[in-house]
Amino acid sequence: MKYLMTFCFLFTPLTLLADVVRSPIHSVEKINSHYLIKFQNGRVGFLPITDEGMPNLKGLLIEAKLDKSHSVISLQSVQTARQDQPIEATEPPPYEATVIGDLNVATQIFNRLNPNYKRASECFNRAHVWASEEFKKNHIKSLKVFVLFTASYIDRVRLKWWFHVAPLLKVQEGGHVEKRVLDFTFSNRPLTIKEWTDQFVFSKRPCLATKKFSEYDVNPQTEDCYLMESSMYHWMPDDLKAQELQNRYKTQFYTSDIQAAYIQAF
Amino acid sequence: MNKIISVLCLLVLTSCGVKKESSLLAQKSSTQELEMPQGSFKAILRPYNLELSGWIPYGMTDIKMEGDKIEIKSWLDDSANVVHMQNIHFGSRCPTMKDDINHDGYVDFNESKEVVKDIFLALDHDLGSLSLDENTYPIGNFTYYANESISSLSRKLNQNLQLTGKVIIITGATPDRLLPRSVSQENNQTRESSIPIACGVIERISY
Repeated sequence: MKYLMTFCFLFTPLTLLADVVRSPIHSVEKINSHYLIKFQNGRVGFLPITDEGMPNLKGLLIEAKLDKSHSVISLQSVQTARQDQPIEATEPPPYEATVIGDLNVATQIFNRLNPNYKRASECFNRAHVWASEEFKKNHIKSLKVFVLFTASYIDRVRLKWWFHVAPLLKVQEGGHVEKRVLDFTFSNRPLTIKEWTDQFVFSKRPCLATKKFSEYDVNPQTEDCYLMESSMYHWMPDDLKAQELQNRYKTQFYTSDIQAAYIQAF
Repeated sequence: MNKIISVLCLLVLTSCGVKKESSLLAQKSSTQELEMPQGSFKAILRPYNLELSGWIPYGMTDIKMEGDKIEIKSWLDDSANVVHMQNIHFGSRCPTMKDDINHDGYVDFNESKEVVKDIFLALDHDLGSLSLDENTYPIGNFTYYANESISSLSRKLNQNLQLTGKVIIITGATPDRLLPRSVSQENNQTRESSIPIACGVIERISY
């Protein structure tokens, strides 16, 4: 199945310096004079709009070479993408996250997250390993928080990624329950959601919270970013999409997800 | 005749033993002043001055000290294809936005130095030199490796290699960032190449 088609847009020594992304494509949007390709692993690529249009590469594992400004140098399909595994629940399953006693305990949890991630590891893999290890070792049921950047924001700041995700804890603070993000790679303590998004959203605009992935997917131009929370079992944004469009809910950690996360990230 | 040979052999053996013992004594006295810290150390390199690149940089430094050998591995994931000076400083914490003394929105090199103090060890291609030559540091998305003898490095630095609690700072943003004049410069470098982008505190992870 290797080599189906190759689209080379620029063959220069630049390809030697290129950033290589291997991932299926999540979606493609038109923004200004180019396509914004969103890869399932979170990376983005910009491709000029041509008369031939965008080739249909859905369902294929793509190898893309990107330059420093994330413009696509070449796109090549290397094999069919991994098929989704069956997910049993069809109704929204009840999910109760553990409420952590106080911020000190949340900080202890933060400090024991696995620090041995690899270079170029992807955020959803790190988050999945951290969440699953904390559940396996300490029976803590965390949440995940996804920040989804809109095409207009990605285009404006030439952002490298279209989403970011980290584990989220419910923490008892001053008589009520707050939420704290555990993003060990980018911060040295549990952060509030606004502190966390401020790291990536340079406009400091708050991200619009939504429970529907389609709200982000369909009308993304008016906001800089959207926020979605989910159970710890959700691995990547496709899980959020499947939940909404196909009533497919993840209700446990899948060994194949965890294995893939370890292989890529640790 | 046999007696003479035996005496000669004994003399030779004794002299060898004395030589070996005196060499050990010399080695011992030279290492008495220099400690040989052992173990594994790690610094998680987290971003600060967050708005300097299309995606915020992050990285990691792993240091292993075993016998008389120190091995340093580090990597940085960053969009900016520029020189990244990486140095271990004497301080004990990373700067935060509270250390932005002139409130220009950046914790620049001088403001950072107030917190992280002077450079203890430059992680460049000439470990142990403090020349701070930009050309000896890694560039862009980098993976760095260096090894050296602990005793010789300690002699070069004229101090023991006690790393726990010290701070690693990485500098360097793209020239098109056009930082304001309020941002300080290090030596003859530009504001963009001097600006710190990531920091980590060295922690011991094993003995």
